[in-house]
Amino acid sequence: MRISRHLPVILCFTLAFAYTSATRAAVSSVPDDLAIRAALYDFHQGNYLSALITYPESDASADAQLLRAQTLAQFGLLDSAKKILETLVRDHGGKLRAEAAFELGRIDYRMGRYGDAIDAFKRINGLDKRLLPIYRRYNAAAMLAQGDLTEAAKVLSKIEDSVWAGYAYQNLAYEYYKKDSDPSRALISMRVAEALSGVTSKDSPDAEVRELNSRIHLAAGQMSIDSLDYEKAITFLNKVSVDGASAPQALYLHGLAHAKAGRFRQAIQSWYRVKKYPLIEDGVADAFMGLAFAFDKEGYTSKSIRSYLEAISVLDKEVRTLDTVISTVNEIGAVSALLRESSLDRLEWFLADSIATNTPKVSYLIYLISDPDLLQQVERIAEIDVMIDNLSIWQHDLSVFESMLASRVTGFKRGAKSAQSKIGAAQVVRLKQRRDNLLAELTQAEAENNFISVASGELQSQFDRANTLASRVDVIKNAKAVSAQDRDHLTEKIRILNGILVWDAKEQYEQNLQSLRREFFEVDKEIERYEANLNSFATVVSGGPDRFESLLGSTEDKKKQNAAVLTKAKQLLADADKEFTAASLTMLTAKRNQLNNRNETAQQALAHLYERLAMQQYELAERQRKIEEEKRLAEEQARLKLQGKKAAQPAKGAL
Amino acid sequence: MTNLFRSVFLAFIAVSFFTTVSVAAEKGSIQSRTTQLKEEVIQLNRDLFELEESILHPANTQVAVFLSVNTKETFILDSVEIKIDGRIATTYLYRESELKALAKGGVQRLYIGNISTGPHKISAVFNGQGSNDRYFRRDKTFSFEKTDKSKFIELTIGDSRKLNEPEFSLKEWQ
Repeated sequence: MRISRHLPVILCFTLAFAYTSATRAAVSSVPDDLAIRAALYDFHQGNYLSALITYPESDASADAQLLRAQTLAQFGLLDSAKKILETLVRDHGGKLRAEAAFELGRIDYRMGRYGDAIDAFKRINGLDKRLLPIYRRYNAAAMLAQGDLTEAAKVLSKIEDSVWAGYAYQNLAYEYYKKDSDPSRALISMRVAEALSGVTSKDSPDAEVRELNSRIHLAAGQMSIDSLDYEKAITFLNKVSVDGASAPQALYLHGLAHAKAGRFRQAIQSWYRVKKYPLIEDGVADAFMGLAFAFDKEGYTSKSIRSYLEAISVLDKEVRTLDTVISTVNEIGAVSALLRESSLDRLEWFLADSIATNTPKVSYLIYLISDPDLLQQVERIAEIDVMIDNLSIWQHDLSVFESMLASRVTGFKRGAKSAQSKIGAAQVVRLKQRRDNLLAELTQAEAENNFISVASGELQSQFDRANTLASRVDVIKNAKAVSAQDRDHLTEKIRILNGILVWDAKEQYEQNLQSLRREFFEVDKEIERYEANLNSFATVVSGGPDRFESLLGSTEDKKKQNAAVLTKAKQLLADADKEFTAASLTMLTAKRNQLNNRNETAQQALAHLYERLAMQQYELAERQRKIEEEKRLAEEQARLKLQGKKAAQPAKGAL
Repeated sequence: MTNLFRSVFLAFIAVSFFTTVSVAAEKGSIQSRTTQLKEEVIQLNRDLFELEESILHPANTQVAVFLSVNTKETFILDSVEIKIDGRIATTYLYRESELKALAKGGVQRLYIGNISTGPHKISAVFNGQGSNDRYFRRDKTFSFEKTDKSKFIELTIGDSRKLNEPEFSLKEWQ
């Protein structure tokens, strides 16, 4: 037996067993630091539910608690977030306390508790620089909500250049505009908003900055029109991006400013461009009406009539589209109609030169969520949807676990018995016996200086081949197939070859011995591990059915619990749908009435136009008739005069 | 007549008041029920993940591989491939939002699986783009010992001090 060839076989056997033996269960726990950073990964991607599941419950570090509170707030669990933040503000100092107070203030602001928000903001000291503009924006917004414009302006006087500054000054401008009769302060605030937010270019690569830019200029344009400064309004409105959401309204106001200044031709140009947008957009219906009005003012009566007829037609079509939306929402609910795949997906706009970026369904949804209450409702529905998806996946997985565990419980004993018979303790004894035999061979080889026994595998195979050659030479010898001289020559060659191999084996003897001892050491370790695995396997086998039954029980319990929560979530979704449907119908009906009113106004305007035309034609005909009458009378008088003259002449002759 | 009018008016006020109150209560109810549901779902998910781990990845066979990025130089991670004992455990292609989350200190759980106790090898390859549009593909193999406790391995892509380019390092968590 060759010792070096057999050791790897034992090693492989023990390792292969190790892969299949480990089935003992224990619940692992990810180290806190790792779990927090894993939660941070979810948090920064907006996966707040996932982040909250990942957070270690036990972790008490203040930074981790702050992050947890921020995640809770983002997930809408404001009260839970507040509790953590209040503790942090109370128990800590420095930047952490400042950030906690800042978050607390933001939550109070979201909850509409503006006084509490201002109080929380007052407790901020030493806030991180990157958060300062956001803090000032919220602080000022809370003050504005309380009606304290002076304090809000004071806070904003310190705000750093940023998009936040843009939003903050825009809000301040709206408040000034509501309060003042003169829009100067509001317009100045709009200018500051533009300057501080760095949005002077409407070609900014940042979409948010571009949209803010457009909104600021649109609002400033509207304010200027209201204060009868049409040239200033046009200057502001020229800066609104034509690719943004504000474009149709800005184009309408642009036309309005020109019209108010008496430049109807320019107004027609602006309003004509608005016709490309869907009627749901602000200003589009008004632009249709304005166009007809402007044509009339310019004296193009037939064009004006055509424009009114076009306005009536598109308004009529839009009302019918809206009727379809309303009836679908009524029939299947707003969630199914507007947030899921529905028949409304097939609804299309037929605009002559459409630049509608959305389908009617999406546009009406955007219109609905422009209302903050409805936006909140849709956000809540989206959250419930996420939870229903999550619970449904678990319900499926738990069913899979349940059937797998049930089959394991029934098949475990049979499987365990066969496993035990195959890889029982006897196997360890056999392995140990083989190892002892090999060790005895090694000891004997050492005692006898048997270099070949401990030689490497390659040398051993060379030695084997030399022996095979020697046997063949013996056969040849006996067969007397070659001459005696050749036989001696071959025998001598084999003897030399053997000598070389033994010499090589002797050379490597010490090295081979050391290598074998190392391998024996490894084998001992692996046998030991194998034995330990066997013991643990035996433990698993003995406690196996109990463990699987216990897991099966837990799975069944959790499945029931999950199903109950899932039912609750579905009921909640149904209730939220009812609420959303009612609110949507109110808004859609209001929009329908608005479009209907516009339609009626267009019809009335057209009727007035026709009436005026008829009057004009009547007056014209009357005037013509009068002229002709006067002409006829004049002719009659002339004729009578002439007749009188003629009658007088014979009388004169007679004299 | 006046009394009748007053009664009708009061009844109208009362109905309006109760309608307003009940609408507000229902609205509040959906909000508070959503909050309650969120709390239940979080707790249930924690329990369910624990149960799933005990069924699918018990501690004595569990190995979880995490990835973090800590590079000061500009480096845009493109993809990662992990092999355990020569077998592919996972490959992952990154989105921009994931890279941002990693850059902000987040750590991604790349893989969770089962292995036996004893010595193992984990090989990791990453592809990405460094400064000056230089494309990197680096691989590294580490050895680790699996005990009967859960094994958590964090692979970090950081800056190599010598070569001035990103490289892998490994941390075994206990």
